[in-house]
Amino acid sequence: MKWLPVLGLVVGILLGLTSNLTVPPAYANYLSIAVLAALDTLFGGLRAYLQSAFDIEVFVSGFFFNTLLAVGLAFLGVHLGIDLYLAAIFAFGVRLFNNIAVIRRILLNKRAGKPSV
Amino acid sequence: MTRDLKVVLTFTFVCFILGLMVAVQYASTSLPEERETRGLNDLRLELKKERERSQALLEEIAKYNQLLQQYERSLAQDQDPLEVMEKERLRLREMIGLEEVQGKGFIIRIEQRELEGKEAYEFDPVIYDEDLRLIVNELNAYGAEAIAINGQRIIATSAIRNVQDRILINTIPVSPPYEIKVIGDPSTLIPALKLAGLEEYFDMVSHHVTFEEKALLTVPAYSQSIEFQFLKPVKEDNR
Repeated sequence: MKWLPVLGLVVGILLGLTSNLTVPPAYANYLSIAVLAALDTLFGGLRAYLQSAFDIEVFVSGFFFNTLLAVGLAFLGVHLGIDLYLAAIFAFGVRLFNNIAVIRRILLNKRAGKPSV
Repeated sequence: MTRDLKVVLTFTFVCFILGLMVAVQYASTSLPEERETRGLNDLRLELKKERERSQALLEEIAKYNQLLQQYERSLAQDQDPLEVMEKERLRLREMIGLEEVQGKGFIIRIEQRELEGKEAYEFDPVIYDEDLRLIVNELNAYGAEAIAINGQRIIATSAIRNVQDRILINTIPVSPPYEIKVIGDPSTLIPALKLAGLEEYFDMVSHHVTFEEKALLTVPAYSQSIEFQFLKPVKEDNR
């Protein structure tokens, strides 16, 4: 039950590798940002879940919206000649670190038996 | 469906998509290809070595061909001598280009590109006799078996030359676009031509070179007659 998401990840990776799908180099940039957005959403959801503030609608909508927004920003940036995708990388990167830090604290507190934050 | 299960399934779904994206991304960013790190000198040495090797191989081919003919001759001993002679005659005619021949090969097409603005003044976009001679020379050096330019078979005594603003091959004018039919091994000859800088050279004079490999290609015969006025074969006894 708890390992189902991990299984999903493994299945996704295997499916991606076996399907031999490749993205043309011109779009590889967008995909990398989409990956980053998905990662960010995932850890955000995990954190919310551990803080028992998890909401499915927010999570799912956030996943799609963030991914599309990031890709859209990158697209706009390419056409305006501004490296807007850096903004997405920056925002997601910072959030990612924050969320992981919070998750770590929560898990440490759990192990020490303290009440969670 | 309990809330917990829903949550886990949602996470699973997102993880699945994430995995898919990561895998596709990984597959798309192929590893950087090996860069050439050898210096010009090494490359030259390598080229020299390969040229010697190709020379040796060509010699070997010639040797074996001779051997094959010897065997064929000894086989033909118990056949009708007339028939053997006829066969030999045909073979010789094929060799010097008096017969239409066919075989594996490729077609080189040289077509003029559209001139773009400034380019028009840089080089004269005309192909001269020496350009075609360069190709023929290169092809012969790497073992092409039959060559025809715009239907004109190139034989041992063929001349390719400019007369005013036209190119005459075998004294017959040919005009662009040029189409060179070659019988020979495409996997040797095409790289040899590329190595000789054919594409870049013709690009400079705003022409476009394309290669088309053919499994079966027909090259026409030399259309005129060969007549000798001065030469006579050496007889065995008055040598």
